Amino acid sequence: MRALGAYAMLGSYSDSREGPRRLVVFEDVLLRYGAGPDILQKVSFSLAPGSFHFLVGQSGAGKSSLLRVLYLALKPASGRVTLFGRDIAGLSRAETATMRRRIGVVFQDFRLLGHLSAVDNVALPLRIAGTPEAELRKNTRELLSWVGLGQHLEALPATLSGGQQQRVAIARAVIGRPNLLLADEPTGNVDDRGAVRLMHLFEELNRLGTTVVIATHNEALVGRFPHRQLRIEDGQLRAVEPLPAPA
Amino acid sequence: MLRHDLPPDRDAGFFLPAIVGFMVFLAGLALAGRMATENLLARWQSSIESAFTVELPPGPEESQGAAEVRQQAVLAVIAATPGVASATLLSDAEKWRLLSPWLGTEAASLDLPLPDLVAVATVPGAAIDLVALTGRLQAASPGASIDDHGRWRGAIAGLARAADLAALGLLLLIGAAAAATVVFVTRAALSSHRRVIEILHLIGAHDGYIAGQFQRHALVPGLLGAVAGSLAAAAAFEAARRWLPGVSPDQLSLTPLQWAGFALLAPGATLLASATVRYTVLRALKRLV
Repeated sequence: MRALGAYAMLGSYSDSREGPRRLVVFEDVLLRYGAGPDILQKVSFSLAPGSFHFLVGQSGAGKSSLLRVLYLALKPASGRVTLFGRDIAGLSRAETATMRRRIGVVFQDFRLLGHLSAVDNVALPLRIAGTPEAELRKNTRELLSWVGLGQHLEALPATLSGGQQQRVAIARAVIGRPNLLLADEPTGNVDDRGAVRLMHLFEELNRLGTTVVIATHNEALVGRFPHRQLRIEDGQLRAVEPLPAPA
Repeated sequence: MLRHDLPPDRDAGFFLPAIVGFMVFLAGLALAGRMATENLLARWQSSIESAFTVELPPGPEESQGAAEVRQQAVLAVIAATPGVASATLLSDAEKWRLLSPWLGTEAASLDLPLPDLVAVATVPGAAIDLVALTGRLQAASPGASIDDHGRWRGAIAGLARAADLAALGLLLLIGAAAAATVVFVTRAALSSHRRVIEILHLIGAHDGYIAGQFQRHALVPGLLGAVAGSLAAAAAFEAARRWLPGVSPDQLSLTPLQWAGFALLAPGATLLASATVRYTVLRALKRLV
């Protein structure tokens, strides 16, 4: 495996560890909201299956917008985005929905449904996919126990702490065994110790084969984990940091 | 209760059953009224179709004895006709009673010459060749004619058609008003559940799944409203049948089969509301990203 630093360049990045297969390919992607300024400017990069990346940059740099393109909430004004080998510009509504099931998202504000219990929130992706109820209940309870919420299965989100809500959101993001897991500022609501535990959880999911992209502005935390970084500044992919030296 | 992903709201919890219930109440009254009218007209039609009248003009300078012989000959011809149940020669008093609405009760004293009338009742369903019978009657009594009440049958058939059209038009109007109101309520629900819809989309829900959630959300309240509306319509119809002045309960009655058809109104209205909800949601979702 070649050192990632050799691929670092201004404005583009390719993680070529897995040969020609690519889970995500951005080519000259430009994004703007309506007639506003460019949020992403000519962004190009690709991600290999099974990789783990941090998406770093200051608040307002464009991290969340890039994630929104990745989870198909936005389409670029120009350029091409290819996910799982398909150009997203050509996806029908039904195909878009089906592709979203391969992407797990941990939203910054969790986006739990307040009227549903923890177990029903986590079960949503499986229900949508048509999983039989018995299997769904079993998997959901197991996963909530795994993230330490076995005693809060029927709790409504409003009765849970911020950290507990976040774990429900993570469980919902991974219950469908997504190929790609995206997390937007997942450590923003937890202390340092909680943040490290959360990163270990994401690493465990990555070891199970899930490609992980975590957007964060917590540079200190990023420095403690030996994963590749996509750095965004003012909507441009400025540089890709090399792997830190092993401790 | 059907499980769904949408939170409870006032639109589905109160307005939807209230609107569906009121519309079903109106539709139920229209339907029951039409069915009762249909029965009444059918009975009238049947009574007219199973009877005809033979008119015998008096012979010139005919004696009383000759007239009776002619009348008996006519009655014999009628009685020998297959399909005839009975034939009755009307008395003068009965004839004057029939004429009294036009000539008044004093007309009997005017000594006007009246034709003889024979009221004939037929076996229900019997097909009698009235042209051939007229020929035989004229042989027995020159100038004899048959009134088969064709003018009244045509009037009743016209009335039935008009009642059908009026009921159909009323049901269509009620259905259209109900559908338009359900569309309005569904759009309000779409607006209030926009965040939930967005989350469901982002975790992979197809439009059909989300439309299904709205259908489930509306199904039970809609069905409850429809059942309540149809029960209220049935109660109002029964009350009108029993207590409306000038109406006897027998005149406005429904058959068991018609009541069974009436009972389909609630599930039918629920299905219509559910289909309207689905169509509205699918159309609205297509406008979203």
